[in-house]
Amino acid sequence: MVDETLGEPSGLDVAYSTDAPAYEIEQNIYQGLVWYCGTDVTQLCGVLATSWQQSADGLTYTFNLRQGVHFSNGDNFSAYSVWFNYYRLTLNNGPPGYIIGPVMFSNGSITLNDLNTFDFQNPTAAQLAVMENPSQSIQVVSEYEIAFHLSAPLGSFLARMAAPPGGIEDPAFVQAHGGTQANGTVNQYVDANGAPGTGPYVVTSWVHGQSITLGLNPYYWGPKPQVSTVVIQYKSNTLDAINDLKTGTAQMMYTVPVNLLPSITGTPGITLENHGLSFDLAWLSLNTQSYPLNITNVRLAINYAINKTALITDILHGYGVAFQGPVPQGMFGYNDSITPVGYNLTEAKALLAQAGFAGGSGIRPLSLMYYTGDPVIAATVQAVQSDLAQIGITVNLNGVTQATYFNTAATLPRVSNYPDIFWSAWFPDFAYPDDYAYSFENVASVFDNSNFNNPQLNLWTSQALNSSSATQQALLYSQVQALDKTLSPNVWLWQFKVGDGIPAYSSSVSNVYWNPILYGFNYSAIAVSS
Amino acid sequence: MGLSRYIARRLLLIIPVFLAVTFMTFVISHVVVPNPVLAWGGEKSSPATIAAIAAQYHLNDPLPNQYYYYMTGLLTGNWGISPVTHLPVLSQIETYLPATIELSGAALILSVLFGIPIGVFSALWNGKKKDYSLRLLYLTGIASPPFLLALLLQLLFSYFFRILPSAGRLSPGLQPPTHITGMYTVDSLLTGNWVVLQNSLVHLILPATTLALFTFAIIARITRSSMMETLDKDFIRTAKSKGLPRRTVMFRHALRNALTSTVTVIGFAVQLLLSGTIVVESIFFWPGIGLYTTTSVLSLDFPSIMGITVVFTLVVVFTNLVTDVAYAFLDPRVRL
Repeated sequence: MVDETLGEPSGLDVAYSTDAPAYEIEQNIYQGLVWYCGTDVTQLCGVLATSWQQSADGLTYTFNLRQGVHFSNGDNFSAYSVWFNYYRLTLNNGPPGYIIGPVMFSNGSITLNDLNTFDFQNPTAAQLAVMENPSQSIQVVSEYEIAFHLSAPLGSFLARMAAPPGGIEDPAFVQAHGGTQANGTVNQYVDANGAPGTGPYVVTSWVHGQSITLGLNPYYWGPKPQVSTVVIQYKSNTLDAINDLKTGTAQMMYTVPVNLLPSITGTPGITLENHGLSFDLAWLSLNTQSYPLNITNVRLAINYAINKTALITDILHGYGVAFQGPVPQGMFGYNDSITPVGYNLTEAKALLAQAGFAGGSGIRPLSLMYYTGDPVIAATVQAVQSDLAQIGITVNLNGVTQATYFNTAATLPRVSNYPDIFWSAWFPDFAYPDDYAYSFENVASVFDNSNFNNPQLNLWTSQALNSSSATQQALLYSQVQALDKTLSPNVWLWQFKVGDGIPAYSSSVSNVYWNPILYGFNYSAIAVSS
Repeated sequence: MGLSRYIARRLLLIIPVFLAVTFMTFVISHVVVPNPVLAWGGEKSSPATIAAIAAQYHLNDPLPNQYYYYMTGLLTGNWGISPVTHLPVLSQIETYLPATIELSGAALILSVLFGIPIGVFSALWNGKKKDYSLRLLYLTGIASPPFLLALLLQLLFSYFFRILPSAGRLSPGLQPPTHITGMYTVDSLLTGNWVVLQNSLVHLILPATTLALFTFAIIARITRSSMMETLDKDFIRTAKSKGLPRRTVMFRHALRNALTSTVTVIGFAVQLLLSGTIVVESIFFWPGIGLYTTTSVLSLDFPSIMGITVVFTLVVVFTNLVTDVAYAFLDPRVRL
């Protein structure tokens, strides 16, 4: 089966990769302790863990691990493997560290030498003593039981464990091929070739610039996949991939950009995925530290003046929904009763007048920064420019390279020419509200692109992050959602249906299931008829 | 000057050229473009990770220091690690270069195979309808931008007629042949892998044709001009009056002398083909140095950009040297 996609992985080492193309492959070759139950994103099921318990204070999670599981090279999976992988994430401190970061507290007694010399198949008594020490972040309780001791409660702990960096690689293989280094240094061999995992597939070949081929894991513990060979073919041209899908050269295509949907919609024998909402968002961050956007009524006026429904219909071809952020619809913590700010020009003009800027007079031209190269973004910012012109606000569009955009978005303190309005977009690292609420609303987060420093939001998002009570978290996130609507530091444009691109596949393909936290496809579930 | 002294002098001249080109590329890529570290590590990287990447690539050092680190690494065989792919730049160049050599080689063969005969016949039929037709053909090649030609050929042969593949070196599911040179056509020929040979040749048709059209046109044009000039010479008139067969006059006397200009152009054509791969490989997703250049520039992969610059510089310098030496062999009057 051939799956065509854009973008080749940067590497296949969970300790270092953070890009979606890498996750697409990694989620098929590695497994973590938990993952979501089918299409549900609110319930987690055990994968390498069969069960788990959370202590009453939320500081300890103990996992019972699946026995009889082997890596694709035959090595045994156990609690020692889990211990190795999570300490590797911590001590290597690579880019994925931000996902597991709050979970792990620094433990100076574990060293790189431990990771590079211990026998994780048959540890010695001395090595076991180190791993079984209860006074550390991760404790081996027995060969198939492991405990995580947190420094503070973390409501999203289990969701973070389900993220791709939680995938377990064979420690012996990593040790034999470069080991673990510090300071984010990449293990080039593992990154370039992958490591044995416990997932249903293994990488049988990677022709750089062309394709990755997956074959069956001979030691896989689960049901044997129906598709024995998957070729992930890389294309630089979306139309080329669409053509291959139409001609039958490929059976699946990970993303059809929404602006190209008309070229494939209605094609006989091709299905466009449309089974649910994604957690991918797009919005405008209003720089609340910049006059006149530091005035609430001005921000609200802007929010009312932008026609999000028209954007979703005309630019996304209906593949989006309006929502009231920061938490996306369908995720725990989203309050359906708090409706998004609708389109109301009359209200917008009235708010502007109340703020002393009737008809937009007195408001200097506002800059809107976005990154170039995406026709959806380009069309959207132009539409926003037109919408705001109707209430007398002039917007100057500033299209920049992705490098400039990233530097602006992810640098603190902010650059001197930080824009008034900042195009913002997000795809989930894990399916939990603090990935959104804390990131966008807490002043300590570099991704608070509206630079909003509201004491209530800071407090509530911090409390929710470190709460182990689902009830308390739900209340806090609801309060955050309501206050964001009232104060409007962000203009939530849309939540993508399915994703910022739509997966498509041939009618010969069946059992494709959709989960908004899944990158690409879960090939083990898929069947292909001839 | 003797040949060996000439070659030695030209090789020594590589050093200042090399230094100038790498310095200019270094300055442009590091000064004009903002700090790339977030693009390399990902916008969600922790401050510690960002600091580690910056330290690894000396991004916080003064520019002269960064240049020094780079050049010392270059001269000791360490061309750096790509921060995007995490692989050594030199190994990536070794991976991608054979694909470009294969594509450029095929394009050069097409250019010469068609360019010289068309130039010759155009000169022979000077002023006749056949000449006008041939000139229209190669002028179309010169006038058409490569990216437009590439897209038109894809549209016609891949999407409309569906008789040729639109991208890549092999069809999905086919494994590359045993690695000997890295060129699929050559390796499959050497290992008797006829399925892959046929498939790789089919995949080569569109990109090689696109790449060849411009250089074929130049070769044809120069050959035509040079032939016409040579055919006017006294020694040709003498050869004809001696009663030599027309074929002998054309190919043994006229063409051999006319080829000196064509050889010069072929050397130039190699350089044109190399620069043309940047567009053609991107459109046809041909995984060679051209595509590698595009992705490196877009992702601000400085170490890869510098490595590619070195390769391009060396290719240009050596092709110029080979061209000059070949020219001297063809025309004994040329003194090096």
